[in-house]
Amino acid sequence: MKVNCFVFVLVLVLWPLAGHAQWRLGATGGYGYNDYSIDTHYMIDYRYTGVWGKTLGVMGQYDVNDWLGVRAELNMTEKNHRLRRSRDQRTMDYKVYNSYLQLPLMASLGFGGRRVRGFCNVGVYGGYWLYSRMRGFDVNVFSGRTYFFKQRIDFNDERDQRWDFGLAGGLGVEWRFARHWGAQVEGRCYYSTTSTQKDYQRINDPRYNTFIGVQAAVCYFFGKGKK
Amino acid sequence: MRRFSSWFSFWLSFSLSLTLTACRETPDHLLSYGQEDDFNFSEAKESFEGKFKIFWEGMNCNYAIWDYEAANGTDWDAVYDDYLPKFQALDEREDSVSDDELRSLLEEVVAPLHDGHLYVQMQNHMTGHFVSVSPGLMRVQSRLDYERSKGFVPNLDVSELKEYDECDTNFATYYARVDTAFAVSERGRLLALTSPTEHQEFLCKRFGEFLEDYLTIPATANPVEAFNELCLRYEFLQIPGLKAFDPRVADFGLTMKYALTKDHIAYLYVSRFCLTPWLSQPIFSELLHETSDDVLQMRKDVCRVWVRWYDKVQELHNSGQLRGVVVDVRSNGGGMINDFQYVLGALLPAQGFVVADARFKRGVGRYDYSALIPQQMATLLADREVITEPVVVLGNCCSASLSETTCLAAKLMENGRLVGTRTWGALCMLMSTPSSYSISYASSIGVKDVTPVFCYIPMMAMIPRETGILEGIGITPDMEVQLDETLLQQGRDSQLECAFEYCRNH
Repeated sequence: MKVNCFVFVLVLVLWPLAGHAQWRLGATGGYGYNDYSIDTHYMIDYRYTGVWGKTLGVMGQYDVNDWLGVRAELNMTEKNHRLRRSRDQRTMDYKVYNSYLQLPLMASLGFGGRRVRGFCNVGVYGGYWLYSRMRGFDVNVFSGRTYFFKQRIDFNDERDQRWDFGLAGGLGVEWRFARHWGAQVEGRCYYSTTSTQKDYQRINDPRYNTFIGVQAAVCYFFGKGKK
Repeated sequence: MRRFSSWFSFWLSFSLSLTLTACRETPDHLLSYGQEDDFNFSEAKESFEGKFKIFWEGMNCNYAIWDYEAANGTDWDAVYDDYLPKFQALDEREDSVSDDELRSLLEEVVAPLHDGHLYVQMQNHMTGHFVSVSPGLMRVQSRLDYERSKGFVPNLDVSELKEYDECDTNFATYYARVDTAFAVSERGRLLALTSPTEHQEFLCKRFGEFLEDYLTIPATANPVEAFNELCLRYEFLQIPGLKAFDPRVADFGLTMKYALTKDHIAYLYVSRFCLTPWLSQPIFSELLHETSDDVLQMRKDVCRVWVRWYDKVQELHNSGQLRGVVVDVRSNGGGMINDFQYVLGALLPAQGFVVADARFKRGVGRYDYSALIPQQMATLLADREVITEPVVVLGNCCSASLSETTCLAAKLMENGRLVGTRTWGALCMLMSTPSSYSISYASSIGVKDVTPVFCYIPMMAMIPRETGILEGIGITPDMEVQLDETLLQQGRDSQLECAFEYCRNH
């Protein structure tokens, strides 16, 4: 249901542009590292580290002129993290895999030559935390046994903030290798300004994701095109 | 135009990167209250408000069953809003705050919490006294069977049994063995002397003082320490039984009773789960090394009683004569988790027995929990037979902690049944030593009788797979049988009779 909603929004955004010749559609894919920003407070041996994850999606861009475009994407991005204990890493290891459906809306600023151009994307994104799973092990101190698990995490409506908003930006290079076709390589960052937790307790303990990755895109340019 | 676009792009990227860091909230600074830390508890030393804040925040970060509490209607943030002004009002009072007032307010705060182990202590800085409350005890005290169950010890009619044996390592029993009659008689003899010497007068006076001091021991804050001082002070009187008690044994006091009925039902009563230090030679050596002959004798007694029960169960099972096994954990407040293997674990398969799922605290957030981890109880690894005959566990409202795990296991065993009344409701486990705090960053706030605030709290949630968390509720028996007061006065035990009857009929 939520996926349908996003597809609808995307179509709504792109539909008015379809009548123009200066727009493009494409597919994106990449790999990135998510940094999970959390304060462990007095749990001094807890170590949260980032984990690599995939990003896959579709994009559409309307080029207003030679240097300015409006870009929208719909992608599925993994914002993963890992929790271990520095004191004894044999006691606990949680790799948490979080999948977000995201809709970044950005201004795309281009510069450079005709065949090879640089570009910079800046904007915002909205996302929805679709599902979460974890894999790893933990020790039951009362039985002394290590338990290995690989399971889906059930969301807690009171705790989990499933809507995710933040800033999106990227810097990349575009290569027009054919009249209607182009390829891009881009360094992309999603900087969340929404905590992954709701304000469900009096103490303030926000946790944020920052996804930094490299993604490639192939896009088709509608209209006359230029080579 | 192209130059402008390039400049614009880079400028926008640069300015955005500078402003991004301002978009996120900063977390509150949380302190650790796990152990004694003068700085962290400083706010609480002279302020009721400070005590409440530490209690509230410590509970918020360390307590393992907040989801269960929320489901039962507790809003912990609302508790803060409601009670902080009341504690602030205590600080603003010009007259002294009594211990009863502080206790009464604390009782109100903890009443909605369900953990059966939870024990909260605050020092009233105006009186210097430590005031404590336990919501579990408050809840159980309101049960109809509490008065009958409190301190209940089964009294078996030995004449009706084929075999019987018992042991007792409690300090109270050791204390009662002192031959006070000797002191009374000696004092009487010396008083009767018509012309006593100075030394005889001295002895007579000391015997009198001893008898007075002896009677005050149970009421002291630390009876073992007081008793050992008494032994030292009156050693020269050479009173039989007046020997120092090894204080390390005080934590391992238990009563165990073994019985075999004439129709071959094996019975074991354990008053408290501290069998491991007695039955395990390595642990005994570690905990009670270089101890007295009395303690060595206690160990022999415990081993003898347990081995008699265990051997007889195996022997009768192998010969096909066993009618059943009754394990009595009534009024047993729990103890060491490893003890499970010596009681129900001695009847179950050797590979362990899963009684529930466990979930540990894994973060400072109220709902930061671990994955569900099977709570597998250790069973006895000896070369033995698994008992397939009926196994009945007897429990009551004062059966808590590991006793309840034993009750839960009985309900899960194919051949097991739980008889008696609903148990206490303290299944979530914890480690009581302050040094174990950082294992899960849970299980205690502060140090008992030392820090201005102390809480004894579970470090995990025990989640039986069929029922979910049962904290504050307890294990409901398969056959609910009250302890009949009238029959008890006639020397009969209605719950035990029901257990025997079940074994005979199944």
